[in-house]
Amino acid sequence: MSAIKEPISISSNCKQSIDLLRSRLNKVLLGKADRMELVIACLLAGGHLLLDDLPGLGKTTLAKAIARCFGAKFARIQCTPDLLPTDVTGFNMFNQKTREFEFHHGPVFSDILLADEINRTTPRTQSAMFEAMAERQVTIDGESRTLSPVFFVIATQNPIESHGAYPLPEAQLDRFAMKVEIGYPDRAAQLAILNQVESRYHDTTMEGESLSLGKLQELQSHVQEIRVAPAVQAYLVELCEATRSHESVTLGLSPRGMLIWQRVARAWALLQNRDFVIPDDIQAVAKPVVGVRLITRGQPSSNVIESILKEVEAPSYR
Amino acid sequence: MSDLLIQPPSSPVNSEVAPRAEKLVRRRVVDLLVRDARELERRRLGTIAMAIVAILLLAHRRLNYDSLAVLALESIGSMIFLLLASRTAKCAISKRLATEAGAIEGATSSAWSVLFMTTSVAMPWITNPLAKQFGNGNGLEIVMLTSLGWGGLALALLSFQFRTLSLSVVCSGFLTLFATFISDSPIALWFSLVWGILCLWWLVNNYWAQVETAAAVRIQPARFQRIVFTLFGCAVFLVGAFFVAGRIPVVRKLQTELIPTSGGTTGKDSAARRGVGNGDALIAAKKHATSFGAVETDVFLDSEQPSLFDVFSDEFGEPKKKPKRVERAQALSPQDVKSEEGRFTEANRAASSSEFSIERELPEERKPVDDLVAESLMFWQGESATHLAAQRFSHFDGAIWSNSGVIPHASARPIECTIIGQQSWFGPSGTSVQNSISPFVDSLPEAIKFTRYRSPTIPTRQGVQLWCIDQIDQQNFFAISLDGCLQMPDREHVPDYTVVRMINSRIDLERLEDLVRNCSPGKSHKELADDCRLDLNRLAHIYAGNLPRGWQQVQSIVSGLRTQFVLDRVSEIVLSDSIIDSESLALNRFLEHRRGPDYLFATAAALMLDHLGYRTRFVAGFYANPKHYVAREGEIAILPSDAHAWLEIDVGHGYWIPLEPSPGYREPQYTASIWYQMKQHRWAIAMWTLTVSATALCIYLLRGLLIEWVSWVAYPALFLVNDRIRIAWLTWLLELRCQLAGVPRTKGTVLREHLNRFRTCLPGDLGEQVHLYLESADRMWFGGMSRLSKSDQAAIVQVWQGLTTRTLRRGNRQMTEGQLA
Repeated sequence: MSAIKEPISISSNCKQSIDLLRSRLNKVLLGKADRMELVIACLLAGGHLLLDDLPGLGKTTLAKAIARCFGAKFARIQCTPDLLPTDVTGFNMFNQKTREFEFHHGPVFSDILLADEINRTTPRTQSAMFEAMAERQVTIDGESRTLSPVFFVIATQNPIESHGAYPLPEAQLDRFAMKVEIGYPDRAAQLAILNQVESRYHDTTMEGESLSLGKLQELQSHVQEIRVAPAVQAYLVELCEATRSHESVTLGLSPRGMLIWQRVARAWALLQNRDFVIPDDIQAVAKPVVGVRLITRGQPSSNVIESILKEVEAPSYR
Repeated sequence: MSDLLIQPPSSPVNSEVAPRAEKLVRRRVVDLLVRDARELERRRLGTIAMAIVAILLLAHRRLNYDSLAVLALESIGSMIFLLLASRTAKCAISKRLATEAGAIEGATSSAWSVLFMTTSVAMPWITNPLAKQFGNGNGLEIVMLTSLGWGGLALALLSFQFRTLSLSVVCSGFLTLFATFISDSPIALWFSLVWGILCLWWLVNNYWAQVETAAAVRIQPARFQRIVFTLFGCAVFLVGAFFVAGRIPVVRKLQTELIPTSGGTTGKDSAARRGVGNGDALIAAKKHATSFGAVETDVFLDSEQPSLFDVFSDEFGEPKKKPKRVERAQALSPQDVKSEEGRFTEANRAASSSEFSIERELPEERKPVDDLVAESLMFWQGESATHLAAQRFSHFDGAIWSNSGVIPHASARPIECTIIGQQSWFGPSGTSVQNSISPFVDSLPEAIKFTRYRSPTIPTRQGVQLWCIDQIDQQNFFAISLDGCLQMPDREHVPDYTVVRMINSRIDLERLEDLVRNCSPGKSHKELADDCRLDLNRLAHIYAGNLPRGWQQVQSIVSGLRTQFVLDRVSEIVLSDSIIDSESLALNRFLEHRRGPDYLFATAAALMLDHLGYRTRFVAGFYANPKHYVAREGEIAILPSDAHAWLEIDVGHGYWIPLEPSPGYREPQYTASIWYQMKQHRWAIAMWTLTVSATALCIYLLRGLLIEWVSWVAYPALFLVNDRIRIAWLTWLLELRCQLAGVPRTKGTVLREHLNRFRTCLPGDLGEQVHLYLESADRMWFGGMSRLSKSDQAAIVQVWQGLTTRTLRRGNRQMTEGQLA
């Protein structure tokens, strides 16, 4: 039973920041406003994003755009089979001049990290990444080093190429807040893309006011204050239990997944300019959040999630 | 009251007194929240124990005379409801304390708790009338005491205040005291002792500390005020007693006697064993039988209690004398006259008791009965509206029913004795009352208690299987006459206070119908004047019509008389007195004016059925009038005014069935299987089924319209409730409307999503109002808001009125067409 909190109001400052972020990202990926909402929700919820998409759809562009929005440090890892864990986390190297070991930071010490084709690297390297994602710290030679407080990972995996790939195990998938498929842009968006002035070094989309990492942290803490009514929590619990008892589900939602779901729903409510979560928010983020961690048999997870949403009674106003 | 000045040592002399309202609020809060819960539970255990002891004491008292099944049913029912009340009360409290949203649910649970508790306390009132139907039941005071006991237990279980627990102790204490006083058993004293010990322990345990801490340093008693208030109270009591004394019947009775006696004053009680002035009492055949010997004196032999003949004469009027008989008397010598006188007297007496004339004089006016118990001839402990036959006559000569020369008291059927549980039971030997073709089924235990009855005939109902009298084991004590009446042949009358217990039967309608249908036509041995006979035959054919021979035909005659004729005991006599020359005209007058006394109804019915080929006989006896039920005794008093006449019909195989043709008297009860009853009422059932189905179909087809009417009627109530309830009602209504419009909301669909589909297709600004409603509902239900703005409230009202079933249906159609397009 949660304590009844006083409703908070969404400050105009907060709304402006969200609108700015939204508009900038929508300019980067044209025709994908709904996907951008999910990405922003994931970012505000403090989770990590898994993009399960074909090459050339703008994943790297998206990650860079997010970093530029907040003036954050961006790093990219191309996951190959020969990638070592130290390539991800960093390593200590002996400096001949100073006669001391110097730590060379790995890509995880950035604010926004794009891990491309994460399913192509070895499980050993994957685990080093996931430790950083889960703990927000890395341990190298016995010394723990904390990562950025807004450390955000966008991992991608190619659904086509399976040869030479190391599919992510269920426990690792649970580290991600959600899985999003960007997909191909529609016709109008494709035309707009062609007409867009391409400049590798000059990006006009980020001109003007920019956000800061502090603003991002503020938004993330705001998300934690969004109210979740007991009825909505009960609904969430019922949905989670339904995922465990469904006949087509091999592995249902864990309590960690349930917490992430609630967090993402809060972020979604904030994006709708609400200071409380409604059942619609739970349903809106169900597929991306649950889809990344649900193991099904016989039918795709999206179908299973849809059937679960239909079967569980949604709370009403009585 | 400033009577006592108490200065407790712990509080300072000049302490400030908290404002009154604040003190009350603080006390309640202390009772509910602040006070130690363990203290409350500890007191509760003792209180529950005392309440249970009180209930057990009363139950022990009731077991002496009450049915164990009834007691068990009542107790189990009360316990179940008490447990339910306790459970719902706990749920209510936990919900209220859980969240503010649970306050409404908590209130609902509290209401249920109160309902269950009330039902538990009222259980004795509910079961008592049912028990009385089966011959059990209790008096009013016992029912009240039982309710008090359960009320005390309910207070002990459900209270959350110390004062209520104390009230429970008071209730159980009063119950214990009263039950001990009215109990004869010494075990009751042990119960009250246990209660006393529990109470003492409870008081010492709970209040000793308070006594110690409240011990005053100094007390200044104000004697003058005590005297004044005492005198004032006495004055109020005396003045009030003076005003009400003569106006309340109970008080009037108390003025004459405190304990009802068996005679002497007006407050008679047939169950009283001791008393002042025994009057006519001659107690016999009971455990405490006493006799003061005065019965041997002639003076006391000449009792004023009526014989059977006297009863009928008093009620129906004296039979008219036959002058012609006297004229035809032959002169006798003095010696012959002397010897004949005795015989004549005996013969007259015999004839008058073995015949019933329908030509009667005007009866004396009788004053209304004040006291049912004092005036009764006997008490019937059995089903009400029972016909108890005392005399049967099978021959009618146009004016007088008789048994055509048969000595009525001669024993016709032998009697056999059966020992059942150390008691001798008697019954007619030979053909058993109940067999495969007998219309008499079941076994009904009934009894009759004689008080002022002066006849050796024991009135019984048809179908008596067995009878007994305590401590009587001689068969020759009883006899069954040729006409089937049960008698005590060697006695002048049944002794007073004799209780005859019987096992009677009910009449099975299905078997009865079979018997009547197959019984052979009876011989007519009833004489009648031709014109009267023609009238009766004509009426018989009118009533019976073309009905085939059988029970329906018989019933048609009876119902014809009951519906077409008026029962009137007086008018027939008045009419007969006005006609000088009459010869058996009572029946003519009855047929002409269609009104008359019950014996004419019986006569007419018997003659009509006789014409149709059924053997009938006239029966004189008593009717157990339901209006003469004596609640205190649980019996029906049979008064002289209950003398009644009816008829019996021969259905074959020696079985006679009573028929009641007089309106105002209940017909004999028949029993039948459910299937048979349904078959009898098949057309009525079909009609009702059709009506109900048609109504249900109409309601189903017009359900949308009905819902809109109901919502229109209930619309003003929206302004009486708070915003949360308003939204809940509207949500319920909208979901119902969606169902009726054929677009129900599926389980997993949120209402917002469901209604948003139609928003664009709604007329005017209804879509916007719906949006406002949804927003406000979200804020109230999930956002923690407690109040809506005026615009939101207005939106709710507009949606209530505007988003009707028809609008939804239309919107859905437009949406579908739009999608198709």
